[in-house]
Amino acid sequence: MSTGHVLLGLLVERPKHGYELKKEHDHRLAGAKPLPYGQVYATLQRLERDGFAEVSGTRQEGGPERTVYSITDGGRTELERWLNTVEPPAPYVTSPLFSRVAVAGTAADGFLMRQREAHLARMRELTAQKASDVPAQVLAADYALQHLDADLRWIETALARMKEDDLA
Amino acid sequence: MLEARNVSKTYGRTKALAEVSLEIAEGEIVAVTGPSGAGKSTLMHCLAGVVRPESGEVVLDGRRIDTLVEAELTALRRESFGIVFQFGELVPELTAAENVALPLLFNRRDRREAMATAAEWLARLNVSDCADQRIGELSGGQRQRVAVARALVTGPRVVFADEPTGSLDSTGGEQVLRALLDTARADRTAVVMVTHDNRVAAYADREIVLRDGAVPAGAPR
Repeated sequence: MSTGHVLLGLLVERPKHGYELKKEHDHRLAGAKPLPYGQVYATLQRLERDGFAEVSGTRQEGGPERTVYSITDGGRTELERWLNTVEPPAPYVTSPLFSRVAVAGTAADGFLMRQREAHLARMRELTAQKASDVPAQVLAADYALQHLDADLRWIETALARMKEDDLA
Repeated sequence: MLEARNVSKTYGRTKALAEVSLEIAEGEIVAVTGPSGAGKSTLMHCLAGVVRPESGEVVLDGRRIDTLVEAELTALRRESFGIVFQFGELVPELTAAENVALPLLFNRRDRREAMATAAEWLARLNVSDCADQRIGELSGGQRQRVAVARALVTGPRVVFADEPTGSLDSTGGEQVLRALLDTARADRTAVVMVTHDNRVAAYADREIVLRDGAVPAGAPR
């Protein structure tokens, strides 16, 4: 996922400065890693260099003077292209969970039981977060919950297959 | 508060439960999970006094319930336990309010008082509008809420729920689950829910995993 495209998406509404963009990023992409300030400014400079954003003024609201950026026509075209690009659906299996089991084979059952518990503990935390009823947080929690649930179902299948192999 | 001690149960040649021991604390919300055929429903039925184990003990508040005679057991179930079934299992000929009042009437409560209590519970579960409607006129979600109200109306110590939401893929299912658990938490009622859905299990304080009728060594219990 490209941070540049996300920032362009946030700039579509109106021109914003870096601090505003960081705050909105962290709110809208609840559950994602918070965006470090350094990365916000580096990304804005890159967007400016590529002609997707430009400096449109400065703003001072009690604190330091901040540079305000706005999206360019080229930026809108690029954002539109990105939003409509279909993501290649999982071309490789890249999960550390899968790698461990692939290496350990049927010896992985103890690990899988412990991993199952860790997954469910995280699912309980995410479920508790949903009680907040903040739409962005609920959306992020649903996403994470359904992916963890998919892992858990795979763990069940893997355990069942190991049992079959034991009996064979 | 509710305890199973080395509980075993066999159906024909199938060992449904093998020496299962566990303890559920007051107000605790526990999910019983595991693959199909692992003994989840049998465990729930033993804990709820619906099925008698062949060996082992089921203890509620220090009192063995698996040895009670049928009449005592029925009285105890009515007083201390509530059950929410997967498909509601409401009486179609009765209105929503009458369905909720039913357990109170079984407990020989005055009819007017029972109907007033039922109305309070329907309000608590946001289905007051349905009070005078027959079950057939209600949506799936409304039925589930009525079933939850009926399970909680006697102020039980434990509510047992067998796949309480059916499916969580609708947000309606999730709302019913939250209504059940929020109400139970507020009243310190323990909930034992049987589910194959990890996302439902994640609503519980704790999970008990069954495999082949037993809690595997090292698994939480």
